[in-house]
Amino acid sequence: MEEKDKILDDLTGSEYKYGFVTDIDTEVIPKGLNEEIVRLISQKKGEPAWMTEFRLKAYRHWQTMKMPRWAHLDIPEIDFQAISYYAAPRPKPKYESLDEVDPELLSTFEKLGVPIEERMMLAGVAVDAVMDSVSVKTTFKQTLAEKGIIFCSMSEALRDYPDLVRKYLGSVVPYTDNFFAALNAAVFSDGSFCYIPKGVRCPMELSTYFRINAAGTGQFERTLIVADEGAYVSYMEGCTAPMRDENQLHAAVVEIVVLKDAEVKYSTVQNWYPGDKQGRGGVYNFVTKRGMCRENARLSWTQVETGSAITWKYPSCILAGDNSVGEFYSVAVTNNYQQADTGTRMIHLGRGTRSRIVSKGISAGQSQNSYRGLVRVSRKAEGARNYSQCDSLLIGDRCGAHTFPYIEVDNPSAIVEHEATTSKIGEDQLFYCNQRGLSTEDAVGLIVNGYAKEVLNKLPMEFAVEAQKLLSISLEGSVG
Amino acid sequence: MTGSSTNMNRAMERSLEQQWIDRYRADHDALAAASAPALNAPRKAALEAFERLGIPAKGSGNGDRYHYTDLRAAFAGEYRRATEAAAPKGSSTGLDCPGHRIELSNGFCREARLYRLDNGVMYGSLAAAAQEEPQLVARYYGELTQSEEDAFSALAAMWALDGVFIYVPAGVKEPLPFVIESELGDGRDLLSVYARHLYIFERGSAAQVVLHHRSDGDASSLSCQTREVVVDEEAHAEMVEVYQLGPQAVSVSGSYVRQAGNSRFESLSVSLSGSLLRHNLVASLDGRGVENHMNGVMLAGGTETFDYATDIRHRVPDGSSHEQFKSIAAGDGTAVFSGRIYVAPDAQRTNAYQQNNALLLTPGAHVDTKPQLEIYADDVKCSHGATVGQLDPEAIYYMRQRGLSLDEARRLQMYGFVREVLDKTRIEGLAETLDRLAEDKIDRL
Amino acid sequence: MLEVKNLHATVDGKEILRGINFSVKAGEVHAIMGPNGSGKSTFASVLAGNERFTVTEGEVLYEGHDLLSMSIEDRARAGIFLGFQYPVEIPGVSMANFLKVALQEKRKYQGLEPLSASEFLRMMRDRASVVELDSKLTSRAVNEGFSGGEKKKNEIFQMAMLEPKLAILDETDSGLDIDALRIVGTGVTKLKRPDNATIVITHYQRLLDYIVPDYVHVLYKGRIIYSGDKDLALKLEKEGYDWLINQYE
Repeated sequence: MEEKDKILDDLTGSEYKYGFVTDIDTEVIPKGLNEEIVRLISQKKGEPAWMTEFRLKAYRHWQTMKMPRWAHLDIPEIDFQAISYYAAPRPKPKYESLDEVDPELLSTFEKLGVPIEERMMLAGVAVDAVMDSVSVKTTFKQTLAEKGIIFCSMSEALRDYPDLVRKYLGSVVPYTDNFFAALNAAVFSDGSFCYIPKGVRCPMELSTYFRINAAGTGQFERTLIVADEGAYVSYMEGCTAPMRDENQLHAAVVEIVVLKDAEVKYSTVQNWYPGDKQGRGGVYNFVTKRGMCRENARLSWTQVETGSAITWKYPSCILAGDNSVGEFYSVAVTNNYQQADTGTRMIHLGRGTRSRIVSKGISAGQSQNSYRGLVRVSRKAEGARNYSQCDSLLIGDRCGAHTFPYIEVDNPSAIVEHEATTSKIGEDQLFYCNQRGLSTEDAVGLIVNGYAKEVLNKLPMEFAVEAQKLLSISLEGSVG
Repeated sequence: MTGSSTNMNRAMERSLEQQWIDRYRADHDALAAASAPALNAPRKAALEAFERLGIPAKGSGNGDRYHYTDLRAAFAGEYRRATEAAAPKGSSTGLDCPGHRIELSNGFCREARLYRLDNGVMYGSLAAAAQEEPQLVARYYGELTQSEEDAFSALAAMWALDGVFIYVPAGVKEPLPFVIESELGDGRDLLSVYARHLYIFERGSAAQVVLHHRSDGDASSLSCQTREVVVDEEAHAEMVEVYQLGPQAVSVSGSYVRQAGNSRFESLSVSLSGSLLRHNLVASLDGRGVENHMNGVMLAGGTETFDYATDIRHRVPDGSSHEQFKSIAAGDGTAVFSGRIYVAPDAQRTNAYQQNNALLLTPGAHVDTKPQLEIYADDVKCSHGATVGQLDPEAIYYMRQRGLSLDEARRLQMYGFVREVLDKTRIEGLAETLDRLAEDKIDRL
Repeated sequence: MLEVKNLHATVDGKEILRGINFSVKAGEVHAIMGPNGSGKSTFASVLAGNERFTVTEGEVLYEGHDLLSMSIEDRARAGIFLGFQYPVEIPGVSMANFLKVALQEKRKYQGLEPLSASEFLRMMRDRASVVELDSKLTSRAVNEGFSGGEKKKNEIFQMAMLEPKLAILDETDSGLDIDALRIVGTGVTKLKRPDNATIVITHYQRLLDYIVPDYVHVLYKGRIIYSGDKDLALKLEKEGYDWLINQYE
């Protein structure tokens, strides 16, 4: 075998290191979606009546809606009746210590690199792991509880803090918002809930790991974060899915409420299975993420998107309060046949609101990568400021890089600036690296990491390292 | 970005399209009898396209192209079709620009004839050209307008009976610009005007075209016009367009340009007045080494809405495009820019640049900008920028320190802001005229 | 001509000028020196009327009038010229047009007839030669694409055109090479008359070789802490400000 082929072969082998199936007994409800299924999900989770009603309303509304087609994505028809909307690992876990946890499950987390055991303590990470939709284990509750911080699965939150959930659920992303948000509201299985009380600074990074496991299931988790006045939290979310031939659907909703003077940092490393080199399989990722910022609040979204066959995702900020700040930092990598249409919306409603957008798109193979972002300055947003920088990098001549900014300004004191560039990876840079003995693969990894540095720097340390590795891995085989 | 649903208006919408279709059907025989075969040829397909497309609602359809401006309201009304060059010569003066003059009235050439110069150049009425040069007209007519993809192009194709025809044969460098004075209105409300124009610039030719659209009085009117511009290999052409329409005048126009190898096309469109001016500017860069410059200025005050949608298609390698649009919105005016740069797979070494700068002066004014890049080749240099802001306070301070009043400093800065674009024209003496017209409008903003 | 009494000024709530007392008579040249951040440029800006700064205390009389109540442009028309440290670029606005409006406004303020086009052009030509300004630059947009040196020359050219009574030159020497410094320096000297006055704000003594000051003032923490004659500048060049600051504190 030629040396080059061998390298390529090795690379192909390491393509998607999270691509394994965990053999755990799962309870899957019948495929299909109707009011009975919605009631069944609610009933299985032992939800209060108002929650069942919320789901049903969402389901009825969803039926009146159509799949959004405005994105620059080629989305195959999705048969929503061929999906099972609930898959819980069985037996339903309720553990006192790690010893009681199914060893298969633990080894899954180990393969995932989730630091769920002792090292987690050292890393100071509290993890709420969501595997196939049901939260299996939440640690560090004690430490957090001392500060009055609530961090638990959505199911637990509905049971233990129903009033809090009821007050905020759907307040930022109503079920009428869009097709996938409506679907999520009807069938969401679990997710994370987080509440940081007034003036409390969360002492550790909070983290959720999502993983889709069971075949033919969709994952519909729902996250709700409430930072009360003056509170601070940094929240990390990681996503993986096993390799499967058929496509899996993921339609999550993340709602963040950032009250007066509070600050939330939300970081995502999304590495769902992207499909194989021929574009078979992979996750369809349709996500609605949005935060509501009150006076002086600050919300910062940072995302590294390397996975999924299709990504449709626009983490947004509603800057309702005066002097609130929204930020969006994104690196999106697409390779092979991946498609991504991602960006943000910055809605300036309050006076003196500021937002900043930095987007770095990297396309390789035959992929299509689009930035789509809206900056809207309403009539009352006196003195609003926005600065956006969107760069696209093309690796190879079969891929596409697209930029779709929308700027709508209604206030004559606003200043909005948008810049975008598109260019290919520098041949002279590659040559320079090669000359110093770096392989082309390594050189690409290096250059891309440098290109994305401004965004990677915004990630918490624990994530930054993994994100850097991911960027390189995602682009393997893209040059040469 | 919103998936808007207009189901509830569906019934009403149908009836709006149906009104236009019924109106056309009633008119069809008269139209067919009045024109040459070349102009009649596309009418049927255009009607079918219109039936299929409908008049786009705001934020929908046509791949995002009509995202920001609602044209449906402008098309609701019992419009009459202009049937002849009946518009009285208006009191508004034309552009002071020497050249071959062509006068249009409500879409018809006042002189229904085709002029022929010794160097082979022909210009004048499209209807006359279709009679006298049927092969030449038939060869190009309808080739570039997207009348099967765009409802307004379709309307123009359905109804047009005349327009301007310009032909510059291979190798001819025409020294004088073609100056088209186009007048709208007949003093009564609800006049609708249609016209199609065809310019052919053959290989190695050079030509300049100046268009001045104007209307007097405040009667309501609706104009739907399209222009096809064929720029052959190594040809150089420049086109400057000025809109000075009345406060109740609506205009939807489309310019469809096709450029062959090593050609250069420069355009400048200036929207000075009108109730609603929508411009579709499309350039297809079909040959290698092509250069395209597309520039524009919008000065929207009162309740005016000016909306430019540009689409530059780099289909082959080695093309370059430069796009600069400047807008000022004051009063309750709206300035919209939607730009698209498309780079086809394999259109390597494309160089594309797109810029929109807008000044927003009053609380009632509104600016939308949507500069878009769609790129399928990797060896490219493409960039765009957009800014929305105010006059530069530092510059105002500097000027006031030299003794200018606040008002003068503001106006001077606005003059300078648009002059950067207006002065790009190479047509002799025209930049000064444009500056003067723009300054006049700025003073009234 | 100018009487500054106990002038205090703030920017964004921070006090920069903290009680300046200062006076200028016709025919005089004053140099204001001082370390970075001492308030030199702020002082110039406040005299010109820059709205970024708020005067919180004190008064300024200019030819007997309350300067602080005048608008920026009225101060300019009354003869106050500020040579900017960073001259502003104004795209699309030609030098000729800009200066024409400025000059006519000034003449109107003074009750004079407007200049004819030919008189104005002749004046442009004559005055451009004072600072050896390339006549091509006057047909370009204000300061746009000018080099650092050209911008500063352009400031002195405008000063020559507008014939101010009180010229305040804010770090006009910064970023100039030796030749440009000579041209700017001698240009200002050529414009000197018994009925006008100049305030030169500078870091370095070198400009004062060309524009010889009658008085040199040291500004520190928003106050004038020391005044002397032209020899003071030489001493400061050699010994720095420390000896003065130590004395003051």
